[in-house]
Amino acid sequence: MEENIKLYNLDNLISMIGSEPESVKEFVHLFLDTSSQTMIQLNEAFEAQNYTQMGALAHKLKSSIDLMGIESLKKEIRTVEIIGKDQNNLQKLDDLIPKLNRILEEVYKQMQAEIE
Amino acid sequence: MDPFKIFIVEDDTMYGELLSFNLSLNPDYEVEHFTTGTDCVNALYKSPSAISLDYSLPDMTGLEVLEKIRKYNPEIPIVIVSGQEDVSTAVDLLKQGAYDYIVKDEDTKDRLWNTMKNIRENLSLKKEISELKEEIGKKYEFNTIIKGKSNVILQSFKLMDKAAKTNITVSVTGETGTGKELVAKAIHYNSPRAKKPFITINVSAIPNELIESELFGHEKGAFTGASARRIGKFEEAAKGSIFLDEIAEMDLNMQAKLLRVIQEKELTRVGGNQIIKTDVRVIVATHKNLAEEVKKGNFREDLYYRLLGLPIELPPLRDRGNDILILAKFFVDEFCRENKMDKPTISHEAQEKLLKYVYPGNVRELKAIMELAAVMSNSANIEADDISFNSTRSMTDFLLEENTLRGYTQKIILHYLEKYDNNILMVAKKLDIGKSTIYRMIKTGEISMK
Repeated sequence: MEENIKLYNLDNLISMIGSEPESVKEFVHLFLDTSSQTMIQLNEAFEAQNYTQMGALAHKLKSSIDLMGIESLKKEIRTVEIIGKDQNNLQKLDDLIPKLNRILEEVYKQMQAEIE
Repeated sequence: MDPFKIFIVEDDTMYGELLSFNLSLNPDYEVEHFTTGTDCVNALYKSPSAISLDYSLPDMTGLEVLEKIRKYNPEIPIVIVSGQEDVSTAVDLLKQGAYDYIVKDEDTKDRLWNTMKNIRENLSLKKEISELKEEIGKKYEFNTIIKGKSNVILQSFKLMDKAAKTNITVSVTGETGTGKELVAKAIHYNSPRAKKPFITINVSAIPNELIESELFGHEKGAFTGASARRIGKFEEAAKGSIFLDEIAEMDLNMQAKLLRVIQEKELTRVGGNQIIKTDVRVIVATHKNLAEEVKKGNFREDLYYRLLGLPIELPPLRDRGNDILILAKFFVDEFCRENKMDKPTISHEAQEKLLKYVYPGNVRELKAIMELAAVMSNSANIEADDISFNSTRSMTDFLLEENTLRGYTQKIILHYLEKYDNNILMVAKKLDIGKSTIYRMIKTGEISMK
């Protein structure tokens, strides 16, 4: 189902930088580069059970997810951040982390398709 | 204007670049993005005008970076931009000296834009104020403020210089119009306190019942009409100087309170309990002889000694010799410059006339005389006739001006001749002298009738 719905909304980004296509493209590329890097680190921290680090990375990713209007992850990324900070409900991560990866991958695909 | 340099400290590269991009749309902004607190702290030597700081950074917390920046330069405004929606964190950071706290959401861009705009406006206002203060400082340089080369005035310059270099209480005495307030200002603006306030209060102009609240402030409800807390002149002058003019007019009860404040360096507002520390240089002035007032019981002896500090006695203008001409020329030139008139010269006769007068109103009177002369003059020269003295104390002045008996006689006869339309017989009768004496004086040129 996720494949059929546009998972992001660039309105917020455009409101900040203007609608000039080159600028929009530049920032989408920047998001693709930086968020994928952060996601790799977040997965590593999760695997290593370094939840504090994982929470800090979720915090870092939070504003980018908000900016790119990825509504389906706004709540989830905050939950990961809180779990990392409080170290409670760790079992929820088993669902949340794969969801994060799955949706972000789909977002990347959709974005690349749009900018190309 | 210098470019407005903004540091964006944000570990999320994407978000940091976005904020940089957005702020860079203002061509006056020079924006630099750092992803760690350490990088920002290491770049503080570039003197940023403002810093946008993410609260959560990989190497240190926003609070730690804030402390380091403030330690380096507490004047740099820091705006915290954070995903933390925790109010207590925001309050803590604001208490630590953050300029503003902005939560990351869809309005961040606009809020940050407005905050930076406000910071820039505030900075330019502060800069303007600081430039104006410097200008004022220049205006009050000793030799700019007080013109003259006479020994008596040069001696005053030396004392003013000594006063400016220390925190000593200064008491300025001198006749009315000798420039006591100007001296107080010159001392303040040439002292290390120059950038702090200079507050003047004329003791004789404030009713006794109001002076305590005026000087030390009052709390809300302290008395009928005290509808809000008000800080007094001593608090207003914090780290600066307070000039108490006409100090001899202060009533004895108030003198005791002033003594306590000066001695203890602390005050309590009227109707309040809180003790407030004061750090104020006190400069007092009076046209009266304070020692005499102490003898008469009108002034407290303990306060007298406390206020005496460095006494500067300003000489009356009549004792300043050629300073009269230097000042006369200065006032005429100033007046003509302000009124876009050609600067006239002062004729020899006019100079003679100026030098002979006694100036009971001192420099203030000379200024008025010269401004009137500049207006009355019909040529490029100010003539003796353009100068008119309107002193209200002419008899005293007549005696104050040292002269020979012959000189006084000539003046008296001339005065009577003018008064009785050159009627020599009438003048001789009034003064009980022989008319031949007057004729002889006219013949020998000792007096000349107008």
